[in-house]
Amino acid sequence: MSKVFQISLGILAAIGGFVDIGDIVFSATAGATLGYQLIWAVLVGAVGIMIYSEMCGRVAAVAKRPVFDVVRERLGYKVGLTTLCASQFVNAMTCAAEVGGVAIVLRYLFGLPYRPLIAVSLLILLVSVWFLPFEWIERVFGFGGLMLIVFAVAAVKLHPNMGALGHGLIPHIDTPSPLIWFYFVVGILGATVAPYEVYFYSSGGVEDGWVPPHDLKLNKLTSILGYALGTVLSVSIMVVAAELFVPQGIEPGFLGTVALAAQTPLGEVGLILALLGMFFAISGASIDTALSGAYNMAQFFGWEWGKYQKPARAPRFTITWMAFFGLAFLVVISGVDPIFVTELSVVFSVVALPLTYVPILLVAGDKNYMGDHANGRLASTLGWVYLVIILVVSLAAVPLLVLTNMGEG
Amino acid sequence: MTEYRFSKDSESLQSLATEGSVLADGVVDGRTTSAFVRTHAQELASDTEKLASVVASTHPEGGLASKTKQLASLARTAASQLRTLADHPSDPARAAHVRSALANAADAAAKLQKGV
Amino acid sequence: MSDRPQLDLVLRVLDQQIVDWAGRRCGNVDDIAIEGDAGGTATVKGLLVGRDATRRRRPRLLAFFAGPTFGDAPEVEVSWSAIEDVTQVVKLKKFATELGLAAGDDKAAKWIGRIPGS
Repeated sequence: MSKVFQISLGILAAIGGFVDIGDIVFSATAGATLGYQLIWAVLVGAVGIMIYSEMCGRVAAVAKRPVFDVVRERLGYKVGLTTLCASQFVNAMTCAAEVGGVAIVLRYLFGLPYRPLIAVSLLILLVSVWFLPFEWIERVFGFGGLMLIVFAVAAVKLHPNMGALGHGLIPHIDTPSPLIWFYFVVGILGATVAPYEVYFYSSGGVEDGWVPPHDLKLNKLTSILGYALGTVLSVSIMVVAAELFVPQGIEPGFLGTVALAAQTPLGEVGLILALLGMFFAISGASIDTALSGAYNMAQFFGWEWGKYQKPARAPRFTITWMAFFGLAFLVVISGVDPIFVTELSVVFSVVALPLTYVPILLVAGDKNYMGDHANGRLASTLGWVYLVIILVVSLAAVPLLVLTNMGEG
Repeated sequence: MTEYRFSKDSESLQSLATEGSVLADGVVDGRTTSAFVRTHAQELASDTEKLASVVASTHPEGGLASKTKQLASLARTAASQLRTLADHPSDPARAAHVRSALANAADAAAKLQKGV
Repeated sequence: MSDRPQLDLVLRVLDQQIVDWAGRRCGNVDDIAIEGDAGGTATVKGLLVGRDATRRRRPRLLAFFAGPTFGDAPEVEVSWSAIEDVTQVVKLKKFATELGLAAGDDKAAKWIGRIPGS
């Protein structure tokens, strides 16, 4: 397969894999509540995940170290174990939210009862991970997620106010509830800079056997171009929510409300594409979170790991991702609302984010480790600027969650 | 039930009723799927019923007693319309009726909110 | 051993991934065994791998959490002479099973191996 084709596939998979239930919920709710005011936050988050992901990919290629390998080495066992527990808690919550989201979307598609569909979702995900090779997981769910481009088409068809959209690129508060504005900034940054994506990405880089300098270009293109184009999907959801829901006073409380935003301008085809896109994107995210949980455990405790291995060759790794799906199933079948779990998981992932970001930033800038591929001046500056942003957001996350009653006021 | 709570609950009812109206509109124009309408209308109905129950169980302060009763009644009406939509997701004639009923409920809730 | 005059035990050995002669991952360096009295000559005896080796290093709130071991030995001492090289990983001269490492994976493999397609 030609390299250009391979790179294009990687980028397309990254676009489709960018959006998960957290992005959908927070982009739609922010658009419905604040209009275009937080488009800049999506872009800031996108640059953040590009930087984080590119550093993780570079460390994977040069030092052959995935994230949790680096976490334990740089933070030591005590802080590393605390980081692992915090990250796994967030991974488990996120996985539950995503599995619940898959069941909800299946319900919209087929109109069948919810509880049996939770079991169907679990089966689809288990079978997919068990039988599909790593690249096929990325491609099937990444390309399927590309159907969410229907929201970009819907956004164009609604003829958004370009002046207001442009104004949304500049941070400004135009609401009687500034605390809610800040809460959604935290939510959007948390949904965009989702740590499980980089655990999965860096482990994939080690599994794929990336080597410098050639694969560093692939890493840069995938991280930058893939996520940049993926941002278009999140912004599109925000735009359609702003255009349709703000004038009518609709507060999106369901995934179905977001799908309605594609159906209104584009009819039945728009609805079906939106639902299918959500199915693949959220399923892909479920798989990413379960595998990330398994990668983290295996890397921290030194077990054999890898999706390229036959399951019996990496048995504890295999049992762990299955356990993540099992736990997600138990949480969702107990009746907890997946949308509620989504909002909590996004906020808590922001709280835990500095713990994994810091070791990666340190290793990526370490010339002893990375040689000529250590952070240059631009990467270093951006890396440290984003550390400050991440620290501020992580400290503000839980107080804002409580003070704004999860954004409801 | 305080003025703030009343305002929030009115907004919630407006949101649910308007969304239901948009959903019904899709059925009228034949631009949606019955599986989606059935499922989403059930969700909206369930939330509206919960809202009606919560509003009805509050102790209104000041001059809110009559308005609170009206809001609870509107919520029950909206929930009933949404159940009808869920039970008949491919019936355009019934959907047209549900659409206007829900739009009226949303307008009435907005008027109640303005009057507070 | 790699061509270095000194080896930073804390940064380059402790907490590193261990791989055996066949390249199989078989634990992390949970602690380092050093012998010798204070004031005398200290020599590195070997690496310690296992939940008992991490007991002293766990945070107070997680003192009882050693992670799921699946039947790993509580503590294995890998003699320094069994080490082939220290680079991004600690590579051993022997297979994991010869040294008593990765027993948890061997036990877990028996369950996973029963599932078709494993």
